[in-house]
Amino acid sequence: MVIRSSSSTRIDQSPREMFQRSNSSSSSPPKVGGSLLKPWKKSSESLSDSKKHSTKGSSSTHHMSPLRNESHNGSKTHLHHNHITHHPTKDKYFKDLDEDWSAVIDDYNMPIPMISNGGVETTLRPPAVIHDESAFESQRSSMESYRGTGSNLNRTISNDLKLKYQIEVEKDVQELNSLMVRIDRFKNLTRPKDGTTQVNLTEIRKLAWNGIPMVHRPVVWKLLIGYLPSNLKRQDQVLKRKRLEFKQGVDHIFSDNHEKDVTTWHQIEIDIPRTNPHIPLYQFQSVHDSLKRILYFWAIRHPTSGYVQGINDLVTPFFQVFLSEYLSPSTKDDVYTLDPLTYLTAEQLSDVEADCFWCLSKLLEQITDYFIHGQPGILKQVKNLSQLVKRIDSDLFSHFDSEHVEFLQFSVRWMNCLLMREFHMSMVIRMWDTYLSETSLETSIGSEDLMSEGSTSLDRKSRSSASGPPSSDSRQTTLSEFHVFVCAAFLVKWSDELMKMDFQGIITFLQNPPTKSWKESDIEMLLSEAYVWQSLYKDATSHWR
Amino acid sequence: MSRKKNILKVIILGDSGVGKTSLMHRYVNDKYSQQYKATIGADFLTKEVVVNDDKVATMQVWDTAGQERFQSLGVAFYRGADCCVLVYDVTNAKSFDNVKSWRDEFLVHANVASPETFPFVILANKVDVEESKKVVSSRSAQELAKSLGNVPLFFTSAKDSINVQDAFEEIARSALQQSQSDADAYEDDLNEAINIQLDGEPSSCGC
Repeated sequence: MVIRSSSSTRIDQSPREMFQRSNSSSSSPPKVGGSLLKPWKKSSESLSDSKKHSTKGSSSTHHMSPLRNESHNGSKTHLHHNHITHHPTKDKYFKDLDEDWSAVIDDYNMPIPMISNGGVETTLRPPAVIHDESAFESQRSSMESYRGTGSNLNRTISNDLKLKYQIEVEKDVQELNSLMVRIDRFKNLTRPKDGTTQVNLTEIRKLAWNGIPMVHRPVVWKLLIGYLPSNLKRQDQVLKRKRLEFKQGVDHIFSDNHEKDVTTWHQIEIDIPRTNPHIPLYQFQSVHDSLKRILYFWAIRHPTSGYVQGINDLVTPFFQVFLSEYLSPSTKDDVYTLDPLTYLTAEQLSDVEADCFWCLSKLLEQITDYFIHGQPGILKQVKNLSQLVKRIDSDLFSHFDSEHVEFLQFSVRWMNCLLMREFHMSMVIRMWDTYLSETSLETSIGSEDLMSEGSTSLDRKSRSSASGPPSSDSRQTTLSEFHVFVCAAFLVKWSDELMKMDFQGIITFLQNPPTKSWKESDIEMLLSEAYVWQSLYKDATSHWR
Repeated sequence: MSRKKNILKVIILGDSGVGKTSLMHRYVNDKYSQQYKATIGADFLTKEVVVNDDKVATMQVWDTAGQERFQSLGVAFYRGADCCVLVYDVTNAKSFDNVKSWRDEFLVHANVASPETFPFVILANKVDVEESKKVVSSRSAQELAKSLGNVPLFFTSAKDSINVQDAFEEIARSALQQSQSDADAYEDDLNEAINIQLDGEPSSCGC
């Protein structure tokens, strides 16, 4: 987690700050009625390109919401967004606006979401971060003078620049504060000082959904996915036992007593050198050996599925996040380039492998049907994606149809590798903060916790309700389900471009979408958009489960 | 000629790791890299080709995933293919043994009009490796090609760019021929349909 000063990063902060403001007055968990769309709205405004709205023919006036949700006949909803950098000036302005939403509309006629028409839950998912009130106040006062009245807009450029600079400095300070506060909150949550023995998984999920500071990521991931028990007293013991179990298992399958599954072994052997070939870490022999042990052991332990290509990708975020635990905070980025054996003992590396193995198992447990014979889970997900896009962006759907583009032709990989192939590793890791926060409750509470001493069914029940995902409503969402919304958000992001392309152009584009320059803020925007879609369509998609 | 633009759809099949992706990139971009990730689903590249010195066409190459598990999903890419390229690795006997299965698998799912005449091309890849590592003899390869109906066979190396261009020129020729015979068959169908209608008319009038 780095404090950046690029404008795009800061724009992205605004949704969070929005929540911060809403919650700064209260110490209770965030429950801000109707504010779900606000963060989206704000960012969407920064991102919307009103011209494109009208050329697309889906929104003829600027008063039209970008988030239209007409009734079933001709149901059509559009969420348009363009890359942040398209409108630096507007962004500058919008990102610092206060909560006076009507002023935004009056001033700019920008499309706003119609909160009432989407059936949006009012439960707030992204967590609040304690807000530095004074920084906010000073920022707001400078913004107010910046906005000013019509005549103020005629100020000299130098004044504007000065103000902009001032705002940027304030923003940086604010960001730094916000980050420190976040780090502290994670610290308090994972190692509560008040003598409680149970970490508050609900709070951790809420907070983690919006990103986890690098220093806390290894522990938080293990908690989120249900590998590390939430009972602090049992953590060490469980880790010790699980790591030993892995070590013994591996020793066995690589001993003479085990008859090697030649096909599986061959497949893993040829895939390991092709895993993240652009990251130096994955070129080391020690890493090849580690990954082989993890994957082969996983395959042997899960014969129904066995090793399937793509699982080699899915283990790597765990691998490098858990390696980073052994690096000092200032050198954590070196994980990309260092041979683990230069900073780990063989025993520590084995512990990392064990952690990866168990977390991979927990992850794949949630998407088992992706990898079993016939891959029905992937077929289902692809179908769900196409149905969802049909509703979200029917123009794009029809265009694909007329160009004979099938969803299977481009989205199999999206499902099989959870979009990992489409982004840089650092982006994937940020994405997984959110994904792992979406881990299903059964997985995340895990047998470890359920079997803990004195746990009765009542305990279980009450814990279930207490540990529900941040969106906890009538039904649980799942990682798999959320992923379809992320894929949909990812696809419609390029809608304007894709509409102009023919079959060949579309497939070529989607084979290699322009995400190389994506920053964390872009990923966070994608995740927020997916969340909004999910909120809007959750009733329509209940049959997915 | 009934098509406004000649599009040749080519599909590459074969076991995992035999070099399908590398062959495609060598042909389309004339590049080789050790850094390709395992293909999931299918990769797609296109190239403008001139066949028989006069016919311009666009070749759309689908490079598929090799692991057996993906076959059920791979089927989606088979339909409409004009030529199917079967690849094996000369250092991997199993990949050679599976060539026939890949062909059969394709014929079962691609739903081609006449399986007997559908064009396949076999590529024996990685011929750049030292002789001691080669486990599939050229003779058994030729026998297989013959047994599958005199399928054209090329000994290629994507790495050293051996025979790749030649092979794909043959692939383009076969694909173009196939696509034209398909188009002709389509027109025949149309004519037949019209004829049937005309033939039917007198009798319906007679009622």
